[in-house]
Amino acid sequence: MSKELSYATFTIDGKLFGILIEDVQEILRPLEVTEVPLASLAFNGLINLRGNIVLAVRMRQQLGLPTMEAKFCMNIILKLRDEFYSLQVDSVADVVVVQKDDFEIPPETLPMEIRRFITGTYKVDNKLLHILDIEQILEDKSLSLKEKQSEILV
Amino acid sequence: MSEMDEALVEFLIECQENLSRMDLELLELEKSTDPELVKSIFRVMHTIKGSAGFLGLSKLEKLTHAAENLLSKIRDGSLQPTTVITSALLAAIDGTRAILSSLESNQNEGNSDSEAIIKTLNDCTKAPASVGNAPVAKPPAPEIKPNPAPVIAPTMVFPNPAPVIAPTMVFPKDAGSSFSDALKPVPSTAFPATLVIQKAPDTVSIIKEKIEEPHREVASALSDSSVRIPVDILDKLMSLASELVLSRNQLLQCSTRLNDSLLQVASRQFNLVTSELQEALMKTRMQPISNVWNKFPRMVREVAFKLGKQINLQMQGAETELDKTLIEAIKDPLTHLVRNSIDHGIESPEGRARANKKPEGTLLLRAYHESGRVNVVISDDGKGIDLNRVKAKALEKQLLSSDQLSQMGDNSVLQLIFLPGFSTAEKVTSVSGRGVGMDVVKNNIEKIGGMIDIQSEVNKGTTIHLRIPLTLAIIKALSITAAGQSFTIPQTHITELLRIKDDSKTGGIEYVHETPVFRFRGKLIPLINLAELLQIKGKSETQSKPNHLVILQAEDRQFGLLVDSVKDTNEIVVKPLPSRLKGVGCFAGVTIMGDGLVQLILDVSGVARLGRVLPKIRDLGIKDLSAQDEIKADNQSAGEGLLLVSAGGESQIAIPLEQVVRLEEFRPHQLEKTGEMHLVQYREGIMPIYNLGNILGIKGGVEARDKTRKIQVVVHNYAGKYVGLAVEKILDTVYESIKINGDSTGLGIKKTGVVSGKITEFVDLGVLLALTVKKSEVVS
Repeated sequence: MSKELSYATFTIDGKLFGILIEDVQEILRPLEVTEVPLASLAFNGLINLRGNIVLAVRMRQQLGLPTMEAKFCMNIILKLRDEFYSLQVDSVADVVVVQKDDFEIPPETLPMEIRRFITGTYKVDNKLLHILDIEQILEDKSLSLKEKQSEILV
Repeated sequence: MSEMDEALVEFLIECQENLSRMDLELLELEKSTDPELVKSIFRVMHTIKGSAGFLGLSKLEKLTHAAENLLSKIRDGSLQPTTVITSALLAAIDGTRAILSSLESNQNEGNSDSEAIIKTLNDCTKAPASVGNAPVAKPPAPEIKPNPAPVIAPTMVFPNPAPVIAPTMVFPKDAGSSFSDALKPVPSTAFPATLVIQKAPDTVSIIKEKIEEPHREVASALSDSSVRIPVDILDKLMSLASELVLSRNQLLQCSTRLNDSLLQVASRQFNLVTSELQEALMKTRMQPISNVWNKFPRMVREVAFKLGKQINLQMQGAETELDKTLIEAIKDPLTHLVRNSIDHGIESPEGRARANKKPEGTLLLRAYHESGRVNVVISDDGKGIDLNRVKAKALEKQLLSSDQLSQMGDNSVLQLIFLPGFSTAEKVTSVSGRGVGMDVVKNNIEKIGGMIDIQSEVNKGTTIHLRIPLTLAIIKALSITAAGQSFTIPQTHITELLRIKDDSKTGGIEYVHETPVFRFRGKLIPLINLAELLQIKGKSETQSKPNHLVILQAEDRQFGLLVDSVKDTNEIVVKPLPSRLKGVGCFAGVTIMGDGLVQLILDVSGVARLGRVLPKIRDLGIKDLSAQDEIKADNQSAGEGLLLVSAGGESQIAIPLEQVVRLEEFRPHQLEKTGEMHLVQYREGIMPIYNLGNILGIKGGVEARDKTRKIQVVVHNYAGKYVGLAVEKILDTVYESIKINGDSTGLGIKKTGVVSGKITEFVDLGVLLALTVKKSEVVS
């Protein structure tokens, strides 16, 4: 018997992604986002979650996909090193239980912008479920040009 | 007890906490010899001793002083903690407790015998060789415990309760009998107290327990008068309260829509209660700094008296409010600093007379809000810190080698006093001088995310500047909008609000070479258009010109911020910016507004830097900017900053700040020579270093100089790569009107002019490097 894992899944631009259900704090409907000028394109929104400040991550931007307005995005709230983040995705799908043995490394055919944020892929009901590497996404050091400039100057 | 001195009450509460922690730590010490543990115990003991000294508790001071002596031996490593030593220290804690409980109930130090404990402690301190052996081992453990007990027991407890309690208990039994009858049986039958006295030697510990019981109750009663709440619970309450406000707003909307009178009454009530709750919660956190300062006048007086000094204590900004947690956190550091100033800083009246100062020394405490931080400045006009003595001490304590010391700048030498175990005081006094002070201060300040800065001039005095973050502090702030988005500006930076009339010729915005300026009280001040600076695109309908002007003060510079509209002022709770956004540089934090939306708080200095009103490079030994009130309209360099450096020659060289990426310092050994070039590892790459003096043909280069000195390097971004230019000295940054009065004097020099009264050569690094560097040489 191989081990079972549960993933919260969601779609971004028609593709199915998932993160471990334990990592998800909560999932929220579209929320009002305050934009942060001069910040990088993916990390530029702030949300008030019951008094906590949540940094919104535009997943489409981060994965190099066409953008979508925040007011249509679902929020998947995570906590990493005492700070809250919200992955903004197109829509939320089911919780999927997979066998650990079915895990495969990301297919070569995926575009590099997506592949570098993915730890692997599961085959689920004729669909592919891509598992996101949360740390890689949230700690992504490839800053946008604006950030680079201000880092040097300030 | 109601009249007990407030300082004493605080001291008692604090001690109770510290002592119980120290108990545990001492026991831990028996198992491990973690130096941090010893330091921690030592600090606690030192604090108690210090406070005891100020409160005039001589007995407690003696006892803790003895314990501290022993602990300092252990800290130095000249003594190893053994069971004997631990017992002696535990006995000292017990002794301290006895004195404290006596203080609490009788407001004097009591008559418990601490001499025996002190003797044991001193024995332990003196006899490092025979640790654990019989002669030393004997006295501490067995002797101390029984000692205090018998002394207290017979005098305090027994004579009192027996006769007093007896009758009340007996009466109900034989209601009919006479009073004298009732008294009779008492001594023989009802009370075993007499039996206990006979057995005293064996049951001392039991009696002692009984004696201590009432004391304990008193102690806890006192601690109960104030409840210490963990900050995170307060934080939680805070955010719940703001959440409640949001729910309230929704409810209010509903109730107006439904038009149900009962619901409206209820919701109005709910509204009131919520507002009050929020207000009360906000207040729980804020306290004026005078809560800490209030104890200083007395402390200063006593310490000064003890040391035979005359001190005039001045306090400014005592009403400055800061978060309760911050008050707690800066209390001890501040006490240390004030004590240090009196003990080491200000000289005795004779010493001051010799230095031509008036006999009375001045100690100034100042607190104020600035740049989103609380600033506390402690300055004295004493003898200052002698750098040579600091160096000598560092050598003596073997903290650094003479080689290392010779490479250090004055400021770095000054920073040495923050090292643990460092003290320049010639003798250890009961006031200070054990070298615990400054490292504790630094630790504590940095723990709360603050900064400590020390400046000292021999014979002029010492100034210590604490900058404490405002996170969680509540500040007054103004809401403004730019291109449809709202921002918040801390009120402390705002000097004035103006509205610009669109078509008037006077008072409007003028342009100096694309740079907007504004005539403000006869002066021209630079303007920054917030929407443009932040690159916000306004929503298409609201394309009205920004016509509100917020005059801001950033450091020593005034500038105007152009915004669309000015809204209202609020008291806001500052929350930290998510770490990912700190690089943006022009936001100090965020806050949640009444409508539940997140709003960004502008960092005024950051905005000024981004808008080039302030230089982009901070600190790094550059002198304070000379305040420049006027910006001359006919000056082509208006708004352009210059970095002034010396490259070894007579004249100073000006480099446009725009071309400077960073200022760095390198040690000579970091430079590697490859062919004719010097290279240094820099930011995961290799950066070539050129000597500006050599390029310009000025004699005296990097190699010719003192090998031990650090090399000052101006980092420039040339064709996408970092290039370093070694200079003799960084002089200053200026924003000065420049009179060009000369042509180029050499290769790469654009022109010459006068800056700060000196002939200055202006270089353009791009041109200069293009002439010097072959493209192929710049390898990353």
